[in-house]
Amino acid sequence: MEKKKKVIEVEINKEFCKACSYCVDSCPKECLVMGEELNSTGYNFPVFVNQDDCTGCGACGFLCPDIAIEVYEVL
Amino acid sequence: MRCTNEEVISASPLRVFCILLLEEDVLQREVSKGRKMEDNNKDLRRLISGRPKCFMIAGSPLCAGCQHGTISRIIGEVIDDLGIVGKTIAVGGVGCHSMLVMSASKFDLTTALHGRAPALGTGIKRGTDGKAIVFTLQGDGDLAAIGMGDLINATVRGEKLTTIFFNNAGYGTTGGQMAPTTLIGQTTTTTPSGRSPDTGGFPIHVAELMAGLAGVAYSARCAVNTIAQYKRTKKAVRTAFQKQIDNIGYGFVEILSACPPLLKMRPTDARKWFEKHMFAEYPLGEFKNVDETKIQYQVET
Ligand SMILES: Cc1ncc(C[n+]2csc(CCOP(=O)(O)OP(=O)(O)O)c2C)c(N)n1
Ligand code: SF4
Ligand code: SF4
Ligand code: SF4
Repeated sequence: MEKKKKVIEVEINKEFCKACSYCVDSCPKECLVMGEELNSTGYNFPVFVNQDDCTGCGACGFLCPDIAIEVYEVL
Repeated sequence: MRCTNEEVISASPLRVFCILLLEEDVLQREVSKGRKMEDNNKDLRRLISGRPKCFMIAGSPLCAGCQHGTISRIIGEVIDDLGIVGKTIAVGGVGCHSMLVMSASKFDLTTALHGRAPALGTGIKRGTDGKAIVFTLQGDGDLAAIGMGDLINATVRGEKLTTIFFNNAGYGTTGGQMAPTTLIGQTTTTTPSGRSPDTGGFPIHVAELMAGLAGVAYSARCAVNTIAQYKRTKKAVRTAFQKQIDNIGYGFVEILSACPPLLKMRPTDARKWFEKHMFAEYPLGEFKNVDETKIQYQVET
């Protein structure tokens, strides 16, 4: 029987982001890329582009120094 | 005064006022119903990584890419995991290292004079009969320069405290001066041609130094560049708190923390610089982990 795939939600709070791109660097599956849009303080922030490959490892959320990312598993 | 009986309300001269209160009541009921729904929805998702429960939702006051933020979050996660939020008191040093915890945490905290956090922590710990769980947040300027005597003497007095030491190889807050932990050859505003041993001396290894002191139960050096390092750091911080909770001795964790403005680099480059140079000078690892502090010699009477 095929194993049911985990459904992961990665929420990025763009207003807290300061564009360090640590999350992009730390994602083993290249699910995040830095976007072009700017937040109200003038930083561009990452976008979650690859929902299918995301394993929910949580690395992006753990290593973000500004606590701008939250990773959830949908139960 | 709460009006819940509508008949009484309609007969009362304070009708309008009571209706207002009634509406407020109904409103509150609706709000709490809404909250319950929100909570139920939350139960449908499990948080894997994100904001610790003991941190308020607030932006960080630190620079872009400052790893002090990551370390602060580890502290929050450990306090959540240990379930000690109600009895923890943080003592912040003077500098960037304490700023995120100071601005976001829900647990009690205070700030000491520069370098004096272990002394103030001692007062709090002893003043609460050892019941409070007290930890200090200190930087390399705060702890290794102006506050070195306070730290060492806290261990000499056998205090059961926990210290989280943020080593960013310089003074961040005041604009990037040399700290005792600055590397030989590293340029800062006070060592424009690089730190030289002739005039600037040598980098200090605080984790190893602490391991040599009898009152210390745990001493480790960690980093937060990769997820593996993050997990090891979290374990070390947890152990450092546990040594205090179990009344064994002083718990100490030094954490290497990249400060991009100090190095005048972009955040990702600063992190790489740390991996290349800081990890070479400051080896990561556990230097001491004991379950009872050892007495070397005792005079028999
Ligand atoms: C008695 C005293 N001397 C000097 C200062 C100025 N001062 C404020 S923060 C700081 C350095 C902090 O450096 P560090 O502890 O490494 O923290 P970081 O900002 O790097 O996290 C200094 C020298 C002060 N506030 N009080
Ligand atoms: S949870 Fe892991 S795999 Fe998913 S985006 Fe974050 S780092 Fe990448
Ligand atoms: S790690 Fe956090 S602050 Fe840095 S770019 Fe990603 S979301 Fe923004
Ligand atoms: S100056 Fe350095 S230590 Fe201070 S907030 Fe900025 S990056 Fe962090």
